[in-house]
Amino acid sequence: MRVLIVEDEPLLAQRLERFCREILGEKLETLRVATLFSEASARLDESPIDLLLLDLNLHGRDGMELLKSSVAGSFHTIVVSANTEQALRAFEFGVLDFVPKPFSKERLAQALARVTERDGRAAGAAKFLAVKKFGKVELVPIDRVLYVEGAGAYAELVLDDGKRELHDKTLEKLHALLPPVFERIHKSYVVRWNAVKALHAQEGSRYEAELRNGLRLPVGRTRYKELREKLG
Amino acid sequence: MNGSENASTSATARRTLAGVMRIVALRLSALILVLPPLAAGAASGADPAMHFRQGDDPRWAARDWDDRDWAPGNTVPARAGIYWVRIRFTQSPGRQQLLVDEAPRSTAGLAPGVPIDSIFMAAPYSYEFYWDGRLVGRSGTVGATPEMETTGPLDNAFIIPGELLGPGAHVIAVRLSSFHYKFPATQIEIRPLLSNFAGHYFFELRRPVFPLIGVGAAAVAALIGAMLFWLVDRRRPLLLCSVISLVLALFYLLIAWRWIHSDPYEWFYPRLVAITWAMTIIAWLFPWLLLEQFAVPRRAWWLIAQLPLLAVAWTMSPFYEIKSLWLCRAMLAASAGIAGWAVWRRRPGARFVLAGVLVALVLVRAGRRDFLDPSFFATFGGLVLFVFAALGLQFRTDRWRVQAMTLTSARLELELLRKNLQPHFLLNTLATIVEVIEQDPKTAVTLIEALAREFRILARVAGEKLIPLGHELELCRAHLRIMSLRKGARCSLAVAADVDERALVPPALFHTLVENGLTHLLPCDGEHRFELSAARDGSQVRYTLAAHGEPLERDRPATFAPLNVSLPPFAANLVGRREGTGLRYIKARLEESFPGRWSLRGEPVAGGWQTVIEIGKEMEGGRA
Repeated sequence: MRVLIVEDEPLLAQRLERFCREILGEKLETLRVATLFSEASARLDESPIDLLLLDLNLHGRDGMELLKSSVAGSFHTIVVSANTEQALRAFEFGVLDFVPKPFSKERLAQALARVTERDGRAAGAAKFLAVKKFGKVELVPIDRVLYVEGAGAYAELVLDDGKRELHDKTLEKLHALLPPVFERIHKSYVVRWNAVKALHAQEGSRYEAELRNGLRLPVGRTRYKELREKLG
Repeated sequence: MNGSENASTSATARRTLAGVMRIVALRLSALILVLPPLAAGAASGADPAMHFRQGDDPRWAARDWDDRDWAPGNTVPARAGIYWVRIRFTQSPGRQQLLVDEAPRSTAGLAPGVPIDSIFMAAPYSYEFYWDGRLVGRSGTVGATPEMETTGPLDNAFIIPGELLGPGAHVIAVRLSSFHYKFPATQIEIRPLLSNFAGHYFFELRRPVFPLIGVGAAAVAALIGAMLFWLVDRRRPLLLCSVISLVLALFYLLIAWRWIHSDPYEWFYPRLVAITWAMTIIAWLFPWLLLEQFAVPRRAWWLIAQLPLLAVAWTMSPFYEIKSLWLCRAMLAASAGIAGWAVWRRRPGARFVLAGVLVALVLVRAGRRDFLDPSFFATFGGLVLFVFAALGLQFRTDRWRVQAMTLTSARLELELLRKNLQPHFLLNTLATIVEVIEQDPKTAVTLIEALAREFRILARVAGEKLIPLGHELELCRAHLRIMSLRKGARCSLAVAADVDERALVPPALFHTLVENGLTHLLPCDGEHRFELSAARDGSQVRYTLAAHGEPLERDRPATFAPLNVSLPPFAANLVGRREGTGLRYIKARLEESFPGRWSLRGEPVAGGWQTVIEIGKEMEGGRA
């Protein structure tokens, strides 16, 4: 795993770094420490990361912009901050976890597990997905997302009005942020479960989910039986 | 003294004195009740024939003494020994009569059928009064020299014995001397009024009612004004209002005095002069009150410009009630000028005052014994009331401001504590302590001690509006100690030698600036360096806090906005809305302790940022 730590207090950065090494062990590929997000973000394209540990204060417009551009990235964001009253707001924007300061190794391990484990889920409910569009970050309300289609390193959000938005995160990462109502039906599809009308078994072991608007999405063979039961 | 002598004296004196006599006649008419005259046709047919003669002879009182060689007319020279005046007239049944020769007339005022039974005299001389040869009354003692004369009351009423009354011809004789007549005029008018005793007394009893109400109302206004000035607010308009009301009370008391106390007639002239001077003082002070109330510039100029106006008013008439009227008009004209200026400059309430003054200018009239009529008191009372109302509004605004400031103080104290107790600072420090405990317990102890020190100082100064600069610097240093350990960079504050550590500053003034510097600047050569210097100029101090470091790009300033307490609207107006909460706190604190006498500006300088705070300087609020 490639980790970036943004923390302007050297002692705290040092503590985060030490804990990361201890927790992740072999799994840690690279670890960088920066004082400011701006100085690190420029190099993200050449040396991409999987996880950002961000010291953040959301007060004011600039903090919000910083958070938006962070969560719109291809990596997961975990906020490490003393301002616990901002946790809910951070979750709404789609951070994976919010670790309050002062923090213990156990608490950080818990947060990191959300990244390393299969089916790891965000610790709080996101309300928006941040999407980069023409160099700016836009917020897409999750209520409007019908399903998400994976496309390699990216994912496409399909909204209730048929519009599509490209997101930098992989389908797996987005699924971790989406609320439980979203179900993984296929290796390339995550769908809002209450939008599914019926499941159909086609000839040749092909399965499909029929949405309420008539759209049909492929269903993975391994997922079909479980989904069948869930639909009742 | 025979008739021809008297006639020749009269002939020579008459023409030259004619003007003077008219004036004297008019003047004296001011002393005597004047009832509305009847219609011309209803006037009494009988001409009272009035004659006078200098000298003294008891026989001249007799009803049938031949006085045809005496000088005709109802005025006699003043302060010129003993005179006798004889009036022949025909009594009209049931009719009040004013017995004067120039304008013989009857006066209304009595119900038909009410018997005539008495004589009323308003006379500035000592006299004996004879009705058909019989002495019916006297006032003082008539004397041939000033020493021999004793003075009686100005107003007298004599009941005429019933057997002497009745329709038909009668003769009144008056023996008089007037050595204590103080008026500058040289003539005295004789005007007996024939009336019903009870009827006329009731009429006279009612006359002082209005002036006495004036005394009470003005005295209360004076007292309230003085108490408000003494206890509530030392405003000049309040003091002026009180003084004017006091003089007004005196003015009315002097008018009412005639009915309250029977003065000797010699006091009459000084009383008139005093009344007129009281009016003069009012006429000078009232425009001053308006000048103060409307904050007119160059007040002294206006006050001096008024004096010739008042001097002219004094010369407008020889009669004191007319002088008072003109003084009142001069006052109202000056007031109208001031109120007009105030309307032009859009002073609050100026239109109301201008309207009131103009109405008063049109309405005010002179009455004889009452001087200015009730419309004067009504409009004047209205204007004084307006001044009280305007002052009341000012009190209310001031009280609101004080309340607002009190609230602001409470909010600021809360903010100061909150910004230091809030998670960002305290929890970050604790996070550092947790790390240091594990790595280097000794440093951890140092850090905890520094934190305790900062909070001890905060607890001591948070409730104060102003603290000695020394305490403030202690607070800054404690903070810098913590931040040095947290940031891993040296953080220092150098204070220039000439900075007076006893000078008073709002708590956390520089502490907040140091905090801002730490968050907005990157350390330079691994060091956060601050320098404080002060320049004193009289009562004014200029503090310059220079922060050395590389200016941070505006990528994460919000990380360091330490305050997030929203101020109430009035405080937000004081400090402006769109700025960092730290600056807002500083501005609110400065405005709290140095309202309108401070400035704040920040500017980038080579190698950092400097903030300049000036305290004690008159200026238009603060600038960021």
